Amino acid sequence: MSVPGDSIQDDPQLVRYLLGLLPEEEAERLDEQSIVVDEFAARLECVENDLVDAYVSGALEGEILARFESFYLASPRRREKVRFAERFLAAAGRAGGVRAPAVAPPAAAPASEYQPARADVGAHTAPRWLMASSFAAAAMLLVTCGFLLLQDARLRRGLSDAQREGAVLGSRAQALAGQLDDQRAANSATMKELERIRAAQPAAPSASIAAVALVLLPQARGVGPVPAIALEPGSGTVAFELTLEAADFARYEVALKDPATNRIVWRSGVLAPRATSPATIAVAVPAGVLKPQHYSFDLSGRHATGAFDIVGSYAFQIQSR
Amino acid sequence: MDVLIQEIEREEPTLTQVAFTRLLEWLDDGTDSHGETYLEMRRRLVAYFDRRNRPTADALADETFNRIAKTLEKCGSIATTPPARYCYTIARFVLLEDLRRGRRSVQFDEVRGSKSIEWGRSDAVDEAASAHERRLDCLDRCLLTLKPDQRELVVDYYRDAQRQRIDRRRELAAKLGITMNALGIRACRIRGTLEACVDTCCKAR
Repeated sequence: MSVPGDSIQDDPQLVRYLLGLLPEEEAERLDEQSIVVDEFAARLECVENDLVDAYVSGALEGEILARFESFYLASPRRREKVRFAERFLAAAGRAGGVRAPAVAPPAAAPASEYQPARADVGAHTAPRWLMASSFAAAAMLLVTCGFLLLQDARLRRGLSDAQREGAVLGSRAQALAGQLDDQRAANSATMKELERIRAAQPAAPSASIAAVALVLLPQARGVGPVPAIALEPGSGTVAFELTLEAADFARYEVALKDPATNRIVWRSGVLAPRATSPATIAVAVPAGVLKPQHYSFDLSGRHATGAFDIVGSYAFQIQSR
Repeated sequence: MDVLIQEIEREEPTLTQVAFTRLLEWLDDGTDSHGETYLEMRRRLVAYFDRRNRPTADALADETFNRIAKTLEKCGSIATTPPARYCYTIARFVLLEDLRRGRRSVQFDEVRGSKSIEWGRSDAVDEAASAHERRLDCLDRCLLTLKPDQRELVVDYYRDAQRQRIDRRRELAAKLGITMNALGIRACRIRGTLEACVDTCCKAR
């Protein structure tokens, strides 16, 4: 019984408890723990198993061996534990390819009823569970190999499909890149044309183009007077700044309406909100479309799908000067 | 005769379904273990009585439960917590009573024991060999009922002798990423399950 790290050596007190060697008071304390404390109960079971295994493998000596035989083996239940250990260790030893544990010599058995298992019984054959396990393992291996072959073929097919798709996507990407280049070139040409037109235009008063003529708030019920603006003669465009209640869209569009006829007299292009607080939309309306009367802007937000939602209405009045 | 005395002195062993269910609930102490707590507690009680060398450890464990069930029936609840502590208290009384009874019947036991040894010795040897075969068969069957990883663990844990065994256990613990102590407890549990299975199998055959 000189196995370093073995629970028998680690817990000599438990060994003494199992062999009935502790004083009554101490034994009662451990009795209580063996029922009440889970960890202790588990540990005690481990130590008992190791003690029995040590006996079965002939590792007990001296006083411990004597006490094991005179006390421990006195109980039928504990003798059955020893018998179980003999069979179990033999089976485990065969499964592990090592020799079966040495059974304690018959002479050592103290109790008249205890007869250690014959060493030859069952020792010459592999345990049935082991044979069954081997067959099961072989069958499992065959199934696994078949599955892996199928999986391999499937993966190869998948790989070639992916390569084909990759090639198609590659050529599609190339085509898109070409289109993008064409678009860039067209934009560049448009920009140049715009520059040319601007340069060709007669010099207009810059203030009338750039100045913010009117800041408009979203129309609400029961508000007071409609904001008004007087057009200066010769104005090219009139600038408006529409205050947003919420910048829910990345793109907007504005329609100028004649409220008397509900007819749209002018429509903006796509506009982006300014990152101010609150967010605003700047609109420049050609002065030529405006007459002295009431107007309203219908502001629409553009969804990613291209659809528009009207998000606000801004009324104003043009006055003659 | 001693059996008769025990039958008379022992508490009424029958337990109604309602009382048994109540006992299970009390043992579970708020959780639902599906009877696992009862089985574990019974196993501990049997081991306790057996360590005290009582020949009828199973019956004493059942008697402990019967008394607790009756208390639950009469009082509605038991204040002592955890339930395991109360189990030990009752078990200790049951043990002391059984020890007193044992002293009264010891002579009869000794006489009966000596007679059974003299009676039919060759028949007994044949019976032992047959029982051994049955147990081996049961062990094979029960090993097959374990999950493969449990079977592998318990075989690896117990397969070697002496020093090799310690090294293997250390390797196993490292492989599973657990401490040696945790590995030991896990292997013990599986071995306990196996042992109980073999016991049930042998009794059934």
